[in-house]
Amino acid sequence: MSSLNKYSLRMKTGALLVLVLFILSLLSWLAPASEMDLARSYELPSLEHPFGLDENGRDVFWQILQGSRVSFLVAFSVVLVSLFIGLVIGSLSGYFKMLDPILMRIVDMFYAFPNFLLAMALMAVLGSSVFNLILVMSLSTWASYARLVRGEVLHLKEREFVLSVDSLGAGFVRKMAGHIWPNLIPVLTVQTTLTLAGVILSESGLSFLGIGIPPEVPTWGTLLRAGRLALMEAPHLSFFPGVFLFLLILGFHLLGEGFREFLSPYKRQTE
Amino acid sequence: MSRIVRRLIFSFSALIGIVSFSFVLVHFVPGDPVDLILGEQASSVDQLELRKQLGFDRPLWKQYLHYVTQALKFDLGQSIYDQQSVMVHVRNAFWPTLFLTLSSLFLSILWGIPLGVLSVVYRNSFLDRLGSLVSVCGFSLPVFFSAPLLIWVFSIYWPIFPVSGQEGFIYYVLPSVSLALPLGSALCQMSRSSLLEIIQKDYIRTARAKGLRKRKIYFKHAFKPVLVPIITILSLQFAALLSGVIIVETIFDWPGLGLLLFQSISRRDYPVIQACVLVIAVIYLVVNVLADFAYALVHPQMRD
Repeated sequence: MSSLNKYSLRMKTGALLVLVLFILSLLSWLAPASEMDLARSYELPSLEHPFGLDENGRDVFWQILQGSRVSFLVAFSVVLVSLFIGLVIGSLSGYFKMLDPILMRIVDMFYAFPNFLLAMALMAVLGSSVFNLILVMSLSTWASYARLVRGEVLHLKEREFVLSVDSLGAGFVRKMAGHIWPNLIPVLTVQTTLTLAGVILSESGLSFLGIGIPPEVPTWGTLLRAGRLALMEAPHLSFFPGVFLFLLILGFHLLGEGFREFLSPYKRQTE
Repeated sequence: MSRIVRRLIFSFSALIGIVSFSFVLVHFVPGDPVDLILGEQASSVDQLELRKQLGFDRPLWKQYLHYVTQALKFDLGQSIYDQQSVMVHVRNAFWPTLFLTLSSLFLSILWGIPLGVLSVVYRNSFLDRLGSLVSVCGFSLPVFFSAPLLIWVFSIYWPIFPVSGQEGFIYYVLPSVSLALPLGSALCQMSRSSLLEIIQKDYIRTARAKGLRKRKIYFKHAFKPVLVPIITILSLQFAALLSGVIIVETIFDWPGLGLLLFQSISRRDYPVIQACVLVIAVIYLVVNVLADFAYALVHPQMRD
């Protein structure tokens, strides 16, 4: 009983963190762009500006809020695109025996790279833009969805409820959309929550290196990059965006682990 | 199909994927890579020269064949930036990366696993709760947040550790600590949860019923089964560790493969970018294969 309570506490904390940060990022659309004041660049935190000012004299708090928009936009787009590709490829691979070896070898090739390295190499040649970033990160994320979906489809297609609609003459699409995919929702929820954390982390990492989001667009990664370059005179520029990034990733991790425990209290995930 | 054969097929297709990808990479450059490297005003003689050096004047399949045969001979061409052999660059950068990776791995194991085990031995104690909190937070800590923070606290505010350089043990502290925070946390969580599961098994209960000491049970009976999930998490987290190493090297000016990759990207030095991608991916592949051997060593059922 005690462990159940603990996990639900984790899940609540995670949900709260993600929700608050998401609402803050939505609210930032209402606010006007923060004004530049070059005379006051790198000003330390004060009552007027609790998070201090950045290199152009803009309020760091507003920059963080604006930056969160891009992070959420990129993360949600990447997850949508890779979920779609992974669902299609994984279903085809799990359902049709003929396609399975070919499709899985392709998935293997994507698994050969650490996601971040793949994204870094592609961004290096394609050049930094939000569109390229979404494209590249989807390319490095879909394979894990495909592998997950394939495993589940392999197992589900032999179950009685699928065999029974099969005997009624249901085709591939109807079996998938009507009977197999709904059963994937729990595992995909867990996977998606953890993937969101991973995507936000990679996006910020790439932007931190200066090859993700273009440096002039405020995101948590580019803010941390600016902070790194001015660590001596403006430590607040490294601290506050980092705290927000940390809290969001923590939130997604707690939420994902919470979902996992909630959906399968007795089955611990191996591999 | 046996596990080993399956893994061999995976490794082989992975290797083909790695080599092909690092070859194709340059051809993904929008427009003409030669224009990008030399700039718009370059003379056509220079352009022809570079095109020839990069092999762009030949058909694509010939370029690919050439690339593969040269790579097998450990010849990865010349850097465009300083005309040096790419292999020399990569070899010089390889050791710093290896040492940094090993020292962070060592540090992670040093704090993560004992904390996980102690959390099980003293379950629900203050230590267990503290361990959970630390490992949950540590796992979500991005290195590009923790590393600047560590630099600010331990190099600027209290100047104890140097920011960059590589002359001795002390230079490893800050980069390794920032990498060992997330990895050690993952190890801590994994060793805790798998040990918890194992000590509830019947054979452990038998050992306790026999009157064996707790310490003997933990170190003798429960030790090997815990190694399997720990190897799993290590090989899974190795990708994250490598990404972390790339970022940390750029932060601390660590002269490894990550910094080399980062610098070559800003110099548009495509042969070096190719080589770095190739080498880092091969390291990743080798570690995965090694993890498989390790499984077979500790877990005889996985040998077939």
